[in-house]
Amino acid sequence: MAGRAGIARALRALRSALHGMAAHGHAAAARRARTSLEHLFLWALFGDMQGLPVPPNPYALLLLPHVAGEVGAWKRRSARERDFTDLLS
Amino acid sequence: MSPFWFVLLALLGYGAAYFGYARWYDRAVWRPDAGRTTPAHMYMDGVEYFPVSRYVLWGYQYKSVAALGPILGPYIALQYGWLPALIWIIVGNFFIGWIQDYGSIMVSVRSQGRSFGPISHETMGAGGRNTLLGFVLFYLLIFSAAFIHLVAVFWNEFPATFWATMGVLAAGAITGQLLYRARVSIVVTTGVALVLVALSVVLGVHAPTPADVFGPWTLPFWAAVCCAVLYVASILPLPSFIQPVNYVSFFPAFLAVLAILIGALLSPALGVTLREPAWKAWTTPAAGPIWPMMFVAIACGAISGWHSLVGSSSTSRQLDVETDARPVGAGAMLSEGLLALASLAAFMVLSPREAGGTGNVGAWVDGAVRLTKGYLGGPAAAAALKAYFALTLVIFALTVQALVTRFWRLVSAEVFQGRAAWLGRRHVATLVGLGVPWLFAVTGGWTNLWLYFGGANQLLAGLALMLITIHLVRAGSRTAPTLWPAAFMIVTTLASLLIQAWFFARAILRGRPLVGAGSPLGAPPWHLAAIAVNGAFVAVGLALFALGLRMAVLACRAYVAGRRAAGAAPAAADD
Repeated sequence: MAGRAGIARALRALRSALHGMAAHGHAAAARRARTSLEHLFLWALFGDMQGLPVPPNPYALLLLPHVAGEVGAWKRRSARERDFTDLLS
Repeated sequence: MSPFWFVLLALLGYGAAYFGYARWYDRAVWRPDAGRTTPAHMYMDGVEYFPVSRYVLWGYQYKSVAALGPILGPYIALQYGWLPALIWIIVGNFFIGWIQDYGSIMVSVRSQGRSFGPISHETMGAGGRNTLLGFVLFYLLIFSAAFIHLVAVFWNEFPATFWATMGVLAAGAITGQLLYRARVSIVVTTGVALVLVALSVVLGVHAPTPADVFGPWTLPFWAAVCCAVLYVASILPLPSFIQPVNYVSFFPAFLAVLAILIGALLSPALGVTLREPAWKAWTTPAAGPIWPMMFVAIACGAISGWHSLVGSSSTSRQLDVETDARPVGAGAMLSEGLLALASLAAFMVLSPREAGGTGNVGAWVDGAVRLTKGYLGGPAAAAALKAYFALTLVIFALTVQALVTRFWRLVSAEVFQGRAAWLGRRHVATLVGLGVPWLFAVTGGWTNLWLYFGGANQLLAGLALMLITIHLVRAGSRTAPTLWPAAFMIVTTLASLLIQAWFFARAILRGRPLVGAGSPLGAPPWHLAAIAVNGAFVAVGLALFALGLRMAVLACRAYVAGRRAAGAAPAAADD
């Protein structure tokens, strides 16, 4: 029983390692691309939350409940220091 | 003697490094704490900062660091015999390589996931960070020149590879469309991609390009074609081209490495033996003296600065718990060392005449075929295997270089702000980032280019080790395991850069420029252009030397200041 569990664990580890080699970087890059677009959208509608003078928009209020969960991460990412060495990530 | 003993020796050596030295180092120096919050949890945004399983992260780190360096580097090192190369790959990995990779990840984790730019700013001030930026720019130029040169050489030397490469690029583009536009499942898409890659190899074998198609201008022509491909790759959005091409390329490249390792392990049964002499000479006319040249020639097979950039800019932000840093950082580097030894074995199963017969580094392909044909179809499969391994070399070079060209473009946009903003524009930056390396690629010979690249790359590793040491001394922890390797790497690489610059300067003074074999630039009237580009090589070498020396001086000052400021009682490196 223990041997079977060990084999299953080893297979899971192997699958994870293969995923890491083949697809992890690409999945992360796809997430970054999607997040950039989402943040652009947030800047356009809710930029005033971070001091960008965006004209008031009634649609922004309607959308606010749907994007509320994103706002924290958006603010953190916007405020984070950036460097040329970060461009590799 | 067979390559099997090499792989066995490496497994024993690296096992001792991982389970013995690394475990001691972990406990004595970094003292990772599984209960401490890592940046992946502290700043989790699901994009850059998010926790990932150690196995996934090991795979990611290994894939990011294992490329042409450990495969081709041993070729130059073999000019001194295989014994010094073997010793350096094992000892370099044991005492230096994995410590740098692991330390880079841990420094970043303990610095809120910051990359080396901000860390160098914090430890050495604005001057240190700007010097690092300048160094990286020159490093990228030399990196690009070496890899563009290699792709051009491979396309010319292995006629089956050009159309096979085009097939793989097309397979990548189709894969991207299937994944992102047609939204076909990843399993089906991967199946289609693998079939297309296999068809690409068949296409390459049946539609070889003519060798030396433009006579002496063939290499510049292939280098220009390579630049055109890289230009397209650099300016297109990542998901349209580079990303799916890298995904498609992973499978044949990974299988090739696996096949060579299996071949080396089976070598006693297959009757494959070593044919290179263990020792040849202390010095060679092309590469120079064994110290410092062999230590930079092997490049990523023993230690690499590229790894520190990757480890500190992405891996550290996805580390679930601190205790994962050892399997991820040290594990990936030691695995790459194994790849370097397998590649060394591929060169060593050829006699000096056979290795020289191919004329250059492409001998690796012949060695790989010899190691694998015994269990992969026999002599009948040799032609297909040759096309396959040669294609592997091309895609290893091309996929890494596409990312480097893109990185150059993005860094240029950051650097050239204000008055010279036009230099940072997308097309201009890409053209500069390919035009200058093209010029270098078609003039400098392969050995000189590779040694410049190795020198810059290992110097970056030495500087990374110094940054780690400064962090440790400030935290009042042990510094000897990183300080002495850093000092050795910095002195060795600075010496190698000076020697290479002198080689180019001497060629100019003699009026006989250093150019690749058969290059048209060696004869009048083009030799004047080659002399001018050799002059540029001297300038680049001296710039790398000066920037590296400045970084080293700043790092030493920061280390001394940190040592004075640190308390007398030793503590864990946990600030």
